[in-house]
Amino acid sequence: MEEFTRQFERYRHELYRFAVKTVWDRNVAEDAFASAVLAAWENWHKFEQGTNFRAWMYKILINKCFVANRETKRTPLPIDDVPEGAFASLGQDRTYGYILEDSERFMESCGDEVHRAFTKLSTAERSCILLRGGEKLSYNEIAEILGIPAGTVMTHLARGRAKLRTELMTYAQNRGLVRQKPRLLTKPGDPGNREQRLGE
Amino acid sequence: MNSKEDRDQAWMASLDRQFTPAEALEFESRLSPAEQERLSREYRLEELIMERLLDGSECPEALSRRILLQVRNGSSRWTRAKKALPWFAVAAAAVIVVSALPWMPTGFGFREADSTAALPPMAASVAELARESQTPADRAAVERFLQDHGVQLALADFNQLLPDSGHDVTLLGVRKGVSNDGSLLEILFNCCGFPVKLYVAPRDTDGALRIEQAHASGGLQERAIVADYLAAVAGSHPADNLLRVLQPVSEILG
Repeated sequence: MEEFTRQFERYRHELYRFAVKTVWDRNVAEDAFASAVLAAWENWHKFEQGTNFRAWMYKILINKCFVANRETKRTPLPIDDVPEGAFASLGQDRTYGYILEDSERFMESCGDEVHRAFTKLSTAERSCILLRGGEKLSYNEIAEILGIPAGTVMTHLARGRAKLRTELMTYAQNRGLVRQKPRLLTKPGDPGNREQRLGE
Repeated sequence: MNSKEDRDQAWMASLDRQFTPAEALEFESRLSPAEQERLSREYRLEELIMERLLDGSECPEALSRRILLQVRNGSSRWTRAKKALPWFAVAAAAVIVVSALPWMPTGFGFREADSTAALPPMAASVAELARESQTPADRAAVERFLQDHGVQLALADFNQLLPDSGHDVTLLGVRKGVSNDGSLLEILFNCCGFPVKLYVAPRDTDGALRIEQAHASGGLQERAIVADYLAAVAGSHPADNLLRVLQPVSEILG
């Protein structure tokens, strides 16, 4: 019991954070989180001491989160299917370039838009982004937790990021945070091409 | 990095810091200055997005305490259950023997055991309990359901009734419970994140008898007589004073 409590205390914030960001509704997320901890305790005798508690706990929690999303019949909001390679091709997008140039200011302007955009991702995409960006797990660790190949983790990450950035770009354009057509066009790579900054 | 696909994957892996320092150095040495700049800007944007996504989502202390309390309660229940296991086996064997007696050739005149059993187990979570509701989660709908089923009771808003109770109570709905005469109703609540039920049945009915039986076996919290009804609270979370939501409470029986 003491060891279980110690491990729970150590990881509770990140596990909770994962649940509330993966499940659509905070109440349902808290239920899933509590249910996962109780399930972990019930199966504590099966946990091999000295192995990775964090990964073991994530497996249980992710299962609960997927079930919770399925039971509440919530599916990602519609975004046109994002092809593989969409994240890489963002590099050619001028609006995205403007966002990258002054990302601090852009993010300040976004407010809660990041959270809203994040809800449009699938559960798998959100899981991969949170485990990688939030908890700094490696592709292999994420693959082990989710029970999928590392290549699929990369695909989820790339698609999730592409969706997220596309949503933010659309928001930026609609709110006039970036201009869609630059006033001054110069050849690529020329510093003068940074004319269209955020909030100009 | 021969194909565009390889290059894209390497870009992703670099952004995700999956390279060893040597690999990262080699990858970055192949990038043009503009690409290197873009990569560093991508790092920054990714950091900012994650910071924004993760802010303000620490596990609340109260939730943490409640979960650990449930773990401890579960633990002590399990310990008690393990101690009681031999006795349970003996009792189970006795029940089998007694149940079989009426079918024995000689017969002893025993009649079949009454089918009234204890109340059904509580839902494991608030979400599960909410799904059991037969009405929307609003007071008017629940009161209408009660009246449609012959229960003339109104509901008070618990959070207004006892603002300093330390409990956060939300109404989830109401449903018909299991009883032989259909007299048992279950009002469903979320109390501090835990599923809690309020059983209500007219006195001298099968529903009321079931409440009494469940109370006698220690399966309920407090119970009370409310006008012509017997009511009781069920759930692992101690929902103190929840009975007061049914007014007027004329007598608390404990």
